Amino acid sequence: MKKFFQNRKMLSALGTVVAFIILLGSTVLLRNDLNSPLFIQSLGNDIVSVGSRIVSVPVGWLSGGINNVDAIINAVSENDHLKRKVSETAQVEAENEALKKENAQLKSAAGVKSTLTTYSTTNASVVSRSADSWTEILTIDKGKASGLKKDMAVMSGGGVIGRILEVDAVTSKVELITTTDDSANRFAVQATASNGKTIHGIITAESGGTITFTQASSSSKLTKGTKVYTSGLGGTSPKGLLIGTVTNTTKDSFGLSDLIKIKPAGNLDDTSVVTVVKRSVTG
Amino acid sequence: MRIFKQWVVAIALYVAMILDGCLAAVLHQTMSYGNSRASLLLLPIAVMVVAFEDDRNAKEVWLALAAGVIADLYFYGIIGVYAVGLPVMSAFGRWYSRVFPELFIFRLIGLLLMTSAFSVYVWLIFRLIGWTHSSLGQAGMSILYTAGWSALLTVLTYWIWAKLARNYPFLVDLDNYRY
Repeated sequence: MKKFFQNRKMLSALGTVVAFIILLGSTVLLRNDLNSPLFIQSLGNDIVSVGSRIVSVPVGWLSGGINNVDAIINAVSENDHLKRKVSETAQVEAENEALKKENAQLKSAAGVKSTLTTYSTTNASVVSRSADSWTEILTIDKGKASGLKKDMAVMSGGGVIGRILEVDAVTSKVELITTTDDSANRFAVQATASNGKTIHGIITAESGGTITFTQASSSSKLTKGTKVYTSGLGGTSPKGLLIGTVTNTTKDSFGLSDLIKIKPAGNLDDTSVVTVVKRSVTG
Repeated sequence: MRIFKQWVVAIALYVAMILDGCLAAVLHQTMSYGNSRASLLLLPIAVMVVAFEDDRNAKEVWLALAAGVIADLYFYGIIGVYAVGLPVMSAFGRWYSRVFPELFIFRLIGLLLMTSAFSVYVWLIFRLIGWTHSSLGQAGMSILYTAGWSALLTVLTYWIWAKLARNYPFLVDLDNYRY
């Protein structure tokens, strides 16, 4: 032991390891606790993002070109599908308009200005994605300057894909809904069971990219195909954003509670453009 | 211009880091295989090749450390993933190039060994801080795919990093040796 403490190389190696463990631990804690990153980190991220925006343009063109070829190949079947949808749209639009009008009148009569379902949106482009195999983090080209805040919901392809993790001046990081990070905030969700009862719960992710409806408030069954929406109870996301549809219900590994698997409605794989949702009601 | 030449490798590493993120966004689906996904390690590959080709320059380790800290903050918002991995890879690369023959196949083997070790390190760190629950089997498959992609990236980009490291060594003024 005495020899160890006399060996300068060993001591400096030990010191370096301890310093890195402390640095890693403290930065992980800071990342989870701070509402906005430290100024120096924010500045660094914004500087790097300038380069990312420049490089992502030609990369996007190249990728877009390949996707366009794919789109042309699938054009006929897509066209048939869309024709069928268009015929249904007119009726839905008229119904939606009437309901909107009625809703506004009722809100006005009740003196309600904004509810959990009121929100505004901001569109953003994805400039980069975490390059490793295990994390699910995107960087988008909108930040504090566009009014974004930590924990805002992010949508793409018709459903929620994640939430804002970190906001810098002109960029933000988005953590996808499929992240298995223990410290990640979870979406409070709701779904209507076959008996008409509304069930509340939260969304958690399993390794392998599947998401599940957990901590269900009732034992009522959710059948396959039931749509799951945000409940707005988490305090950061509005009510009524589509999360996905129930695919199957099994028991958890202890056989005690239901494990309701959900197919995400949002497009988690091809996320070149996303929509950040800003809830109107705070708190 | 003289000072710019000394920083060319640093700028190239910055571009490699940006490309890592941009290409990961585009190639995400191509790099996924079932429940596993390959990592895009262009920045670690660049650091290793620069270390192979400029093995007498001790400043490369400090460059790798700086690149690691910036990459950590940009990708994860924590310090300790690239900030540890890149300097270790740089130091290993300098040692490896002195011990093993200067042949591409040996360099490729060294590179694949280190990128695989780096992937294991990243997985361990993420398991430790609770960012992933991937099992050893899933991690093993990801590391295997990562090795494949790393081999491809090395074959495609080795000459670029090698040329930059030889012609523009980091913080070395080659103009001093001109006359």
